[in-house]
Amino acid sequence: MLFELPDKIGKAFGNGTLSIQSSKNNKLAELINSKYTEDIVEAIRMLYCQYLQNKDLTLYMSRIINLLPREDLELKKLCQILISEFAAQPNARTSKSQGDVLILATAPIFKDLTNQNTSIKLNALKTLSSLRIQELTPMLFTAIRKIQSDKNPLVRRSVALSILKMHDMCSDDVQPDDYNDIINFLLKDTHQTRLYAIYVIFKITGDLQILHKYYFQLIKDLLNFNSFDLERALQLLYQYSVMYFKEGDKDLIKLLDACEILLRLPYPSIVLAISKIYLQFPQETRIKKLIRTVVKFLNIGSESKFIILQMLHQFALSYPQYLKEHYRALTILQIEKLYCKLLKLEILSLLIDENNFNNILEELLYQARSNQPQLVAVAVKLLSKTTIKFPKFIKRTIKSLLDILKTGSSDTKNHVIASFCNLISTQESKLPLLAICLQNIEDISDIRYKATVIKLLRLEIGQIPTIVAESLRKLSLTFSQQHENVKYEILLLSHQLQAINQEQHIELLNQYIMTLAKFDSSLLVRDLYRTLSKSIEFKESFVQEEENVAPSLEMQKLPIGSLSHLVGMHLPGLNLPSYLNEDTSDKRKVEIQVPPQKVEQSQQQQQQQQQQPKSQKQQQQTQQVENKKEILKRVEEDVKKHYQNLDQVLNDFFTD
Amino acid sequence: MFGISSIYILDQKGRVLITRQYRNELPVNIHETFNKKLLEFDEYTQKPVMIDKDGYTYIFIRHNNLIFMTVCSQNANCLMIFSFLFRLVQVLQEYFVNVEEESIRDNFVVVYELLDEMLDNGYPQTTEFKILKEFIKTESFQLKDKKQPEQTNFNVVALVSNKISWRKEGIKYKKNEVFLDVIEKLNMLIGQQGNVIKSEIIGQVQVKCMLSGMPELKLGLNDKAFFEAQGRQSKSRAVEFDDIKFHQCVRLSKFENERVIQFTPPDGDFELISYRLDIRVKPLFSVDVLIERKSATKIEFLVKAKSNFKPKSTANNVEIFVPVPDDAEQPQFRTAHGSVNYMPEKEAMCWSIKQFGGQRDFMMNAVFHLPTIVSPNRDKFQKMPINITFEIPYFTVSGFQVRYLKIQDKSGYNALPWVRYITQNGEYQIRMN
Repeated sequence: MLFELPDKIGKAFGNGTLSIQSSKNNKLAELINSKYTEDIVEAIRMLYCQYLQNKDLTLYMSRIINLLPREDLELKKLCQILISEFAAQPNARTSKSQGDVLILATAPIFKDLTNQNTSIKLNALKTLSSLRIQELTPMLFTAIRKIQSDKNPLVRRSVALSILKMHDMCSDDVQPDDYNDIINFLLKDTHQTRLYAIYVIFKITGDLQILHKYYFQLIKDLLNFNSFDLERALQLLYQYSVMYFKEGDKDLIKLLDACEILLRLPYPSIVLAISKIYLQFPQETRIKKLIRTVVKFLNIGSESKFIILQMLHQFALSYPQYLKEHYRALTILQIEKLYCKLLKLEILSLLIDENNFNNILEELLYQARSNQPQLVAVAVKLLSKTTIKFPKFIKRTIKSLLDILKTGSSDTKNHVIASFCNLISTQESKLPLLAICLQNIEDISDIRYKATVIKLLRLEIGQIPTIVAESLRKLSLTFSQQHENVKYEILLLSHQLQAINQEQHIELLNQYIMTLAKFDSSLLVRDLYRTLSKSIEFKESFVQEEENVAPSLEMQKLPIGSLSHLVGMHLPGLNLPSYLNEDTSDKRKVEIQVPPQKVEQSQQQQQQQQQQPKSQKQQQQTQQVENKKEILKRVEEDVKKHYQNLDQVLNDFFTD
Repeated sequence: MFGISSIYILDQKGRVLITRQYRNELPVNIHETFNKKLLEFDEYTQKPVMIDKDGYTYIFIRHNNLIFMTVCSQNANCLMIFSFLFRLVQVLQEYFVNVEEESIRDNFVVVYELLDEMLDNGYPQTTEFKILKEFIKTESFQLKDKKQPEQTNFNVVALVSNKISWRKEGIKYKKNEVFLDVIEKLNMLIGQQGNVIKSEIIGQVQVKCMLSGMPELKLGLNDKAFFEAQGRQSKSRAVEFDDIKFHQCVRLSKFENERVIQFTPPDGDFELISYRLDIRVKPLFSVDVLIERKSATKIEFLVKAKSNFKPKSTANNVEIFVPVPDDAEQPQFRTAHGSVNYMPEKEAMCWSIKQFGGQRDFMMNAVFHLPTIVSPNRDKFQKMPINITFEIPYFTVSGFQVRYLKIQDKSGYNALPWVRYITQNGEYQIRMN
């Protein structure tokens, strides 16, 4: 047992893995020192693996450098890539040992620069310029000068790029005097090399004066570039045009014309680059063409489609008139990604006008019934937005939203109610929409919207006290199950109702709700209860005192019938809504008066009038009475209307 | 204009398979920030461009079980980076056929070499497979060209730097032929009431070029603008091509001025023209579905499919996917034409008809049993559209026609042009009620 134990412990602490590791390393050492190229390639593969695992390769670098002078192209290339990756490690420039290794590597690579084979030459240049060794810069420039006039254009192009690369890596090491002559030489070269040379100048100096000379040449060359170079050229021309052109310049128009031809190329990145130029110097006909071209790219993969849609969104904001004709291309497909669908909906809502309203509305409605909750939320929100924009179509939209409300899931219902709440604040006739919200208040699962509906109800309390009372009664039944925010609103509603309507049943209802609030689990609700109940006590004490004392001047300033007036002071602790400052006493009088009693009174008056001798005063009285009658009749009708079923209110609204 | 700072090929779980850093400015292990960022979203809300709090932009695409991701620290052209990533995937596909985790692991040295060739300091360079295969050879390509590496390299150099970079000189064929495939895809969305919400034709002309030398080709189409420019009327129906795009080989300025399509084609397969027509087209197929709930546990579908194209044309391999409840079981199908399969993974039934003649209509009846415990998504199927796939040979919806293809070469050989037309489904969907 004692013999076995240390071994077991050793294994548990990783002796086993260490031995495997060391055997691996042995194998690697064996392979890398082998005579055969295949073995060495295999060894380099293993080194790549280690590099990917962030392991230090310094130990093996000297061997790799020894392999560089070999003739085999692939091996040479692999070694060079490994060296440049090694140099790219964050500590390569700071660590002395690693830096020394890199300097060692440069000698054979410099030698490769003079090789006959283009590939070897190119790779050597690429590797040298990515080594990030400060001491090497002057040597490298000397070497570059030697090959700048190489017969091969590919090498000459790489020369320009390597200067840029060196500048990107350490801008302090590269001074304009070092490269000016090389760049000037390269500017006279083929279209590609020239582009790179101009690009280098721009990148290093930030200036594009050089394009004064080569502007027309670059425009001429545009059709010969490959897509990536073309994009670069267009970006340079964009920068140049921003720096040196005003709208309507002749030379600018040449660029814009050239871009128009380029719109026929099948590369979306080019269209993006052109759109930058076109938006900088907007011309209506060109933008119309551009939009048409961009729409064509809507059929590409969803990743690029996202960018294309963002472009279209920009166009929809700035130039909706040109995008409107393509609105059908923006119809949503089932298979698209959610972010594409959402963007499409946004764009569609921006394009709505009286001609396409029906079609776009149909699309929004279809998406409002979709399975994806986010899509439904956005669709419903946009529906209400468009309704606010086009009040003409409000009835249609509300009808459709009602359909969704009847059939939709609970999430959908929440969104519809939210959009109704949104609509209520913008409409003059708020009651029908409020009635819909009230009808569905039981189904609203989102507390925010439920609280908002009650709040909106509170704002309209002066107009529909009986309906408010009925709703409050219903809400009181489920008071304890509500969220604290909803309870808070119910409590305020009840208190406000009680303030304007002091009938017995309302007072009882208020008392009931206050009692529930008194023992509620939520601190917020109990707190509000205390504030409200205190204020009522204040009222009583004040009233008692004030019977003897004349009302103070301050009292007159406060609106009659408001809570503040009753209390006799502003209530700073309670955040009172603005309605308290409004004088709603007239409205209240109309509603508080109970018609039948007053009608009886008027009949009595009429009998008295028959008995009394006729005089002018009596005539006036009878006239007044008749006027009152008319008013009372109207009041009666109004009250009846309020008492009518909510459905009928809705029907009145829709069938006028 | 700004280049890519680094590129990563990650596996599904976000582990690094390949990475190349082009700038020193990036923090180490930046891919971990990307992985965290990726977890913030689900598959529906994940956008292909993300930005982190330090201002680094991550642009990525997914392919099979891989993520190709680039990090940019400056304001680069997103679409350029996307097109580079797609090109990279394309090139890798040409090399390994299946681009997936295993093939990347097996060939990661080649991938390194390719990345080195395709990107220099983060700027895209050579991305054409035809050129790249001359530089970087795997075993399958190595055998053919090993004899004269220097000469091929010279050709490649000429290719990359010439004005005609898409075709090399000295190509020879015994028989000179050009094959033109006009493929039109019909994107159509039909509303619940049978109204066409969207109809759009996406066309392309695919060319297979087997011509010797450096020939000059001239293509004539029934282009309305061309006839108008010439001041004559066409005998057949002319098409108005507003959104037409060409391969780089077409002389664009000539087309812009004279509406003539003239070009020196690349060798082999390429896409010469792509166009989009936003015209009102009658639906080629209309499908009516009548759903009847026989009882709480039984649902019946009566599907009626009708073709609206000319009787002389025939559609091949027509497949109609009708959505069904997700918990449907025990399907029973009755139809006189074609066959029907239930596809539970797609929550649909597929009615396949090998040949569907023009102006014909077929009926199909399907009955499904439903479990007594109602699935929460049972009614979801009604919100899904019906999908149709088809192929109609010798027919173009738009009326696109190739009038002529003239081939001229210095050597003056005779070449044969072949043209083939085909209409396929694009996104052809019918919304259910």
